[in-house]
Amino acid sequence: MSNLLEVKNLSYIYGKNTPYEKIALQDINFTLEEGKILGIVGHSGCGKSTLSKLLNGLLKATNGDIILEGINIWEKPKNIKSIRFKVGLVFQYPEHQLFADTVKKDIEFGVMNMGVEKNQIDIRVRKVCDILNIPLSILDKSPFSLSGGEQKKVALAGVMCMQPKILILDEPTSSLDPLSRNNLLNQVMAYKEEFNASVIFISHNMQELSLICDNILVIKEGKQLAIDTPQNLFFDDKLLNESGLKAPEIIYIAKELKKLGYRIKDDILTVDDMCKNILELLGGDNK
Amino acid sequence: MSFIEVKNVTYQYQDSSTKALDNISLNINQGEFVSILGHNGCGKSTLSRLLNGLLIAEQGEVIINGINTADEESIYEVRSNLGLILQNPDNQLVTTVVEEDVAFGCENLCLKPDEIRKRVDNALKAVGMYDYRMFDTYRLSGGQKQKIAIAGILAMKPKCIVLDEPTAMLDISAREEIIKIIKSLNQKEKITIILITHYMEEAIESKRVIVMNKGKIVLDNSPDIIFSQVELLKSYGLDVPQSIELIYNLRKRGYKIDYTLSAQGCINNIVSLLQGNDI
Repeated sequence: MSNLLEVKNLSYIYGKNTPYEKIALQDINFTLEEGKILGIVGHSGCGKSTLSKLLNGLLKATNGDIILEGINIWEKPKNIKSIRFKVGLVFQYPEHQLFADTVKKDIEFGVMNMGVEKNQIDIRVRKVCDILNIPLSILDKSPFSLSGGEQKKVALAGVMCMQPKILILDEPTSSLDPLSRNNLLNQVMAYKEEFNASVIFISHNMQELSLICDNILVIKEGKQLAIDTPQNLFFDDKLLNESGLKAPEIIYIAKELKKLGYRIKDDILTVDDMCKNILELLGGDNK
Repeated sequence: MSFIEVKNVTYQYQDSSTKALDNISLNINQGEFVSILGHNGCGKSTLSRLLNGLLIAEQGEVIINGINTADEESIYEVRSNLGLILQNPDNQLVTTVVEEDVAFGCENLCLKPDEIRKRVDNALKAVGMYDYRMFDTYRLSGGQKQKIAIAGILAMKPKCIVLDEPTAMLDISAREEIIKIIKSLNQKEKITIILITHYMEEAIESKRVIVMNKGKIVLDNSPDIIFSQVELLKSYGLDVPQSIELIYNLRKRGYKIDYTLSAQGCINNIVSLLQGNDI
């Protein structure tokens, strides 16, 4: 499968040649295939958000290249706008991105700037409302009259409406309750399936990353510590120590049982996997 | 008499057709550590704002340390007894220098300068931010800002602190630090803590868990009893920690395994289950 996105030796320095010079990212390398989900983890201030801004051309790298569909995104600086249509970025507090006087106008804004025809826009708006479970009755309301959770959805709808090939979500589930969090994960998966898009998912929640990501990129103080599958990462105690990350509880339990000598598989990610494994050890499901 | 008495309180926002709180009654004693869980919009935050008199109940009464919050004359006494920490620290820092921010509440209580100095230093030490006292507030990380906000409340020497999702915007290490600070304030300083959260692993740290749903209190018990009611919690849009979900799945299949609140406890119980099975 071909790579949709290639990031090569990417570095970014804030305030270069000033007293406040600070290296935000150093030598980041990864690829992202079509239809895959890449998680990004690291502590606050490690450069995760800087990376997301570099990827859709809001910032320009100090060094290194970002290759999207085989083309360097800064090859023709004048075309950077079209990159932003292909790489949709939802900020950490998406509700801060709202500005229009109705929900519909807010959702349409991005796609209108792409020059899409009016009747096509309506179809797209209905499509994303369907994916995100936004009731059509609120389209004429002011986005500022909605609850925080609904506002987040409207902002996300605005980005999804542009149908970007890569959807970048910066901590989308912080401050959502468990049910809304699961709904959002399912909706992101539905978008990915519908448009064969790729997703970059920045999060502090190891449990959700372990459930949805194909690969996870670990960043520490601007440097890339690892990029690997959730199984490999969370079973690697040395890496967890070094990065200061914690495996999801269920993987911790699996590893501890394994240390005690029980036959535990190496690819346990979910409670169901673990339960199945224990049932096997107990000798069947028919007690 | 309890420190906090909420009696038959109902609250409805002006532009809403449903009641945010529907006939709630609740007593919390001095020194308790209580968590409040519930899905978004269940009324948790409304309750927190009623407790420190930012909102006043339309029906029913909220009494803090013997004072009714509806009594305008003594509202400052209520607020110095009961401090409120919000989710976003940026919304509650008011000055540009850390120690000035921590002193802000005390200044409004008209305390003497040397008393304020003492309290600010102690509060900053309690949250581990004394070395940052001369820093600019806007250059701090989210977790550091939240610690400063807590120090500002601490300096007012409240009997109770209400925290409304204080860790929602923080990374894991900052989250753990904040919870550690909250626990030590409860244990060492005997401050009553009310922690509103979406993180089940934080609620487990408390002694009493209250679950809210659609403006009502639906469960109020110790964490071990609350978290053994997995199906009920899920019906309220809540989740349980993975270790409890695992035990729940095994019990559903007829295996005898006890609920426990820690990962280590879960491992121990699984080991006894597996060993029992060998015999």
